[in-house]
Amino acid sequence: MSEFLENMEEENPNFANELPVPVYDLKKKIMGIADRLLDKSIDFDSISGSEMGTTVENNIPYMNKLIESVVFQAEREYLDGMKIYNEIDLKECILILNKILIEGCTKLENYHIRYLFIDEFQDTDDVQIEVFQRLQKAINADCKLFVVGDLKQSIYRFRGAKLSAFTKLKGNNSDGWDVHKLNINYRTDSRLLNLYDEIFKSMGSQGTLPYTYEKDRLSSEVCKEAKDEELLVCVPCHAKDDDIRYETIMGIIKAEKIKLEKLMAHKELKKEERTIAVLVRNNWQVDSVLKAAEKDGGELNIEIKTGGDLFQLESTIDFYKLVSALCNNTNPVYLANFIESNYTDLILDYAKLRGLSETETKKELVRVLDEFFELRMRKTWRKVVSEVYSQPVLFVLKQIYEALRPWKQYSKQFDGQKFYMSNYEYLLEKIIKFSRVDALTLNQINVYLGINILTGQRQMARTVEFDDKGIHIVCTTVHKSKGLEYATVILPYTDDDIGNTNKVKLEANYLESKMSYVVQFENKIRESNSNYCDPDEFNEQIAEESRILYVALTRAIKNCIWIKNIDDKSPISWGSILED
Amino acid sequence: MSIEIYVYHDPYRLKENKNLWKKIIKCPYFCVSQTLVNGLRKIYSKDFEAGRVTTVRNLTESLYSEWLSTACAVRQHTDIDNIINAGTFSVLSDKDQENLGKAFLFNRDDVFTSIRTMFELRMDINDIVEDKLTPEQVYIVEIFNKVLNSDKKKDFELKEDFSIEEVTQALIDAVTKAKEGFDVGSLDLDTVVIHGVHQFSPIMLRTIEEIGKYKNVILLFNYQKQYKTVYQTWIDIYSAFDCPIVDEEGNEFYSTDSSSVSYEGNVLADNIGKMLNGRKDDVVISKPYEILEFDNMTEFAGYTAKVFENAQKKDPDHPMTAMSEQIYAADSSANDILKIYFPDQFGERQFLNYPLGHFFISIANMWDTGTNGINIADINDIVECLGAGILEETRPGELVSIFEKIKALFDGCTTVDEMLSRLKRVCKNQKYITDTTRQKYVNHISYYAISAEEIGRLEKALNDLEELAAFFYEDFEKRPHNFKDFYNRLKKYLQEEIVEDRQLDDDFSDIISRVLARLDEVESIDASASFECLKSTMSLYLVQETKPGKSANWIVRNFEQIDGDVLRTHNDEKTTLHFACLSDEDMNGGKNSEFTWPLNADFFEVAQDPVDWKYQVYVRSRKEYKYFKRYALIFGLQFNRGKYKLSYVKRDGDREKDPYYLLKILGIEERKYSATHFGEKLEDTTGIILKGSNGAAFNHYDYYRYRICRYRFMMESLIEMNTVYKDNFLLMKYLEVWLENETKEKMQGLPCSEVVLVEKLNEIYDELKKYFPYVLNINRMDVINNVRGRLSSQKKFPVLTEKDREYMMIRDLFIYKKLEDPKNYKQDVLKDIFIEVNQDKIDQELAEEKLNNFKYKANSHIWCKYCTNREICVTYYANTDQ
Repeated sequence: MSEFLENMEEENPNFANELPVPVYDLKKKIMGIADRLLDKSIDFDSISGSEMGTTVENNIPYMNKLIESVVFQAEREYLDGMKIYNEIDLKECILILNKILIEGCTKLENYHIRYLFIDEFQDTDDVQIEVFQRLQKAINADCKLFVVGDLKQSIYRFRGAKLSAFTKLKGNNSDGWDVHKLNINYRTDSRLLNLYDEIFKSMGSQGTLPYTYEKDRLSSEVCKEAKDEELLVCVPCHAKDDDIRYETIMGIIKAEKIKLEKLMAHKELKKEERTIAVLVRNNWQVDSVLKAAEKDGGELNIEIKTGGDLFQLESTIDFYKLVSALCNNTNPVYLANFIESNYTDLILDYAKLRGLSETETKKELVRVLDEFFELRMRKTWRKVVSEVYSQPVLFVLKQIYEALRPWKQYSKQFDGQKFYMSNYEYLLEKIIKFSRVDALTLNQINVYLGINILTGQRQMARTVEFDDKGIHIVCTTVHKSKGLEYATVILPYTDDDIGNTNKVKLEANYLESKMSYVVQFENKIRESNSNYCDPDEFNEQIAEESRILYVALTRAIKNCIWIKNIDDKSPISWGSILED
Repeated sequence: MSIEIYVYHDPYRLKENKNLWKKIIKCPYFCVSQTLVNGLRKIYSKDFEAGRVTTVRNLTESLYSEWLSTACAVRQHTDIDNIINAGTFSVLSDKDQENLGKAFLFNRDDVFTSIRTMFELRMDINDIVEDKLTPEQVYIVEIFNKVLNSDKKKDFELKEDFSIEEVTQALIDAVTKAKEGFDVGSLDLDTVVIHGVHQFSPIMLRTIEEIGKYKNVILLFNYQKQYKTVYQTWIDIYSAFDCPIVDEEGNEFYSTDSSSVSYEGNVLADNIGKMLNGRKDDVVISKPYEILEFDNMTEFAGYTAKVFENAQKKDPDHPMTAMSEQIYAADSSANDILKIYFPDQFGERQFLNYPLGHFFISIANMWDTGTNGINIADINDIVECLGAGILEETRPGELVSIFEKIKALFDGCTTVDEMLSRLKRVCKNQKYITDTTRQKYVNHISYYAISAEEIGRLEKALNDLEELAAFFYEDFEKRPHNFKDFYNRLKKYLQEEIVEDRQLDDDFSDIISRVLARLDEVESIDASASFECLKSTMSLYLVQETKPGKSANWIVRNFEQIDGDVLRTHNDEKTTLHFACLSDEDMNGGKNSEFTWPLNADFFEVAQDPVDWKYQVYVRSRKEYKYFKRYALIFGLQFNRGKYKLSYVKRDGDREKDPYYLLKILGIEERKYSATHFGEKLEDTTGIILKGSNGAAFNHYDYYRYRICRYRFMMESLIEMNTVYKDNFLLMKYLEVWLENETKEKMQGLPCSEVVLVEKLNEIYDELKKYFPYVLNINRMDVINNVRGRLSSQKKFPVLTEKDREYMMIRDLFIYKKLEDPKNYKQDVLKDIFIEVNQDKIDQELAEEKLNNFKYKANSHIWCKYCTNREICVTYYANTDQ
């Protein structure tokens, strides 16, 4: 990129001054374009310059050139670099598999595979579908595909999932397939399904949801305890004011909790039957709900569905603070940072350090740590530091962990402590797998943790099955709730304008030999190319949001409550769909 | 050739097999494993004396000592590397050659083993049908061919046609190796027994062949005809020897003694055996069997650790034998976790795993033969070298600590020279800053905020590092006999600089002396090869000679050890045999591939069709491995005379496993293991306090920090007493602030135009960039554009007021005075932070008594992005919405 911009500057000495967006943002966004394409398993080599259209807004008229000579080139160089070390990037796997299958692969027959089963088929992208088809052929003619999916639940458009998935799979051979519909629901109240059917039919007739009464209506014989008027409830409020919105949410949760408590007094309920779920679109909304619950007095214990947050958990963060203090053992900042972790219960008056030199501060903190370690481990901190540099590192770290017992600081509750320990152990297993346990060094662990934490890597945490037989209140995103069920679903944010394509800050695709993109920079400058079609995006976006709403609603087995923002002026939102 | 095959039915009653007993009682007796040696010795004590009874491995090593030596392995590695590096494979396209060459060098160890297997099996290149090979196999056959048709062939020659004296001597060597001073005079050296081998290696088979020329070789294994399906795997392998299998009737296993503690487990074996024979109706289950469910491998390792700890308390000298449960796992990866708990149990730590070893690996990683110098592709190699304790420092970790403080300075450095030159520049700049304002500014930059003494120490360490690297690797590929030369240099260094100069602990000096002893073998290597080859073979050479009694004791044993260990339960009803990891995946042994890459079953069975019996036995035994674990489990349950326990591990990463299907069919009940390890009360630490007196009064900037985030206040106002920008993102932001502030200072009162502004910004930027030696042109564009955007709207630069200076100072310390929250209607999150405040209020808010025992909790928000310690505190990154 640097080279590219320098060349541009050579051509036009005023280039830097004319740049309408910050370079770092430009870099971030073009990398984002690459990621969007790779998410959809698109091979850059298949895109030619002539397929990139022309820039529309012309704020960055050289955008195509930039993508071609920087993004594609950098990706090529990166992959070539990987090749030197005999590595491939995960994002490349499906592309490579496809290439291998295209080039001809004759060795698969020996596996005698009779079936390939694919679940959640609606979430596959075009390249993945081609891979399945080729794989089936490469195995042998008798190998059958068995796919299960629901287009109404297709909510991974950003990863290239399309509503044409099944059609593409069938290709020209639609007669060769046995198609079966699964329309019986064994968990949801039939009355609620009837109410939903009205909503879904309306969405179907407007073309936003692939739903027809004949083909898609779910039937059930279940009848739960909710009264008819409690099945699907709209609660209006002036949600423009955040406080009012959150007061309303808390009020609904409390009321539903009381109802469940009454029910549980004379009936034993399964875990899902005593779970209330607050379903939202974004992670920040989860945080807001949690903060509101805290503000409300913390009486409501809201669980967040953990998913992919091993590197964000306190057990990991604490361990990182320990390791980085050992790596930076002459740096007072790291020492204090470690002291403040769950590994110690020291409460220190740091104001006493103010005015000391760095050396004096360090000396004082080391003295305190020496005393602390002497008490808990019968050896000084300095001795521990020296051991960590000479003995097998995980052995020393494990001894520290067991002596200092950070889980006790983390939680006073048994399940909390178990959760902490369990994920600490999981982290160690990950570290052992990442490198040979005998050869591991302190620095390697520090780098491993640093990269995973600071770049926000997602890794499923280990859950601890703990059920106190009480009522559970969960707040999570609709995407994370997929496949789960709850007694009550609460939708607190139904006022987002789902047709606002300006919200699309970054999108890129390659379809029918046309590459399209749209980018909005931090300073609101926008650029897109002629292949990008705003009206198409508008329709696609509404359709996808409709499917997300479908998933959210169908998580409820007893009742569903949604908050209507009276101040909402959005032309089309979940609220307006539900109201219709 | 004289080979006889015998089977026996009951390992406890071998003696009753009179004919066989007579044949095997006086001759050298070689078992598949040391555990079988131990088990037999426990039952038959003086009849199975140590020395006479030892392992097959001892025998092969005695007969083929040269082939199995390190010197031979290194020579062969260098030969293979040289062939691959020379390229010229006419049978392959250039692209295939390049790709395969890389793949082969990357998988050196597998390729090495595969080539050796081809030689050990005396493969005839003319018998290989090329059309049936994968490209990788074409490539390896070509390497094989090139070895055969060059002078490298001599390095791969396996001794053939041993004389009777040589064979007899090998037998004597094997026996005396197992027990020094063993009286071989009492042995019948005309017969040799090989007991219990299921997995025959080519070298074992050659050994059998060579010995069979002069001696009578008896192959022996357990067989139960009533469990035909289970034992068929043994028959399939041994029938490839093309000799009759002698089976004397009697002593078949039947679980009859219902009073014994082992009865339930014995019946379970019987039930599984019957079921596999298709006799489902004969299966009798009096009460459901139980299997313990461990949630994950760590939980299982924790359970094992507890058993081992108890044994350590009971018998500190022999904890393994004192374990109340002997644990055998179908997947022994729990040992990787147990190594953390009990590193000493797993044998001696290898030299290369000590910090000194890491040091050699890291400098080798960085050495670039092209430039004949250090090339830093990964800065962590430098950190590894600094942390290895080789370069001079006053306390462990000091150099790493210094490096970490200023690592931003080295961004983009690819050589040590560049690093050194940047350090010099920092010292020089520091020395020549006369302007107090500039001095104030640079104090906020991490690499200017450290002492000259620390810089000096790091500088010296980097110089020493470069010198050492050059000493070992300079001109490596140009040196004749470069391997010998390198190892001689290393010997000299270890001897003179490490052993003589440093105060090492006894263990480590002992290890080094044994590494030096091994390096004596170097003298026999004449080969020269690439630097890459040196790196990859270093692990072969840089190991110490083994020390007797220091072998690994795998706390969790594998299934290969069952058939020997089970015999130790004889007359010991207290011990429990615990069969673990009994899931389908683990039992079907998916983790071990049948052959080393790139060889596979087709290579042996489709592309070739030799009639040689050794070839047939080898291939068959590899392919039968998947049935071995099933056999071992059933054998263990049958002949266990103590209690038994079954368990499996349910979760492996994201996947869940099921108990072994045979157990499931028998209706096994799962019981969850529950660990109750939460420890007792922690010692009270309230007596530990910081000493000193509260220093300088707080100013309003401290107060602002306090208002933003208590943790930030603690770090910057109490610990660092400064705002120190440490990473490149913030340093660039800081450069922007500095540029803006300095421009405002210099231009105050002057008219402002776009041209004048841009010119001035460029001029000041060029002046300042010397403090940021890693800046790139793209950084310049951003920094200047951002400042220009903020200043260009005015017609005249204002004369700076107190308020302006206050704003500049806030920017200096906090980067931004206003920050919009994109998620909350663009509200300025700093709106209420930088308020006007008098000293009384500050003193009151930050009063001594208030701060004492104060909990400095981090307050995460978008302002964390511009906090100097965000990567240390990491609360911002732990927030799920980042």
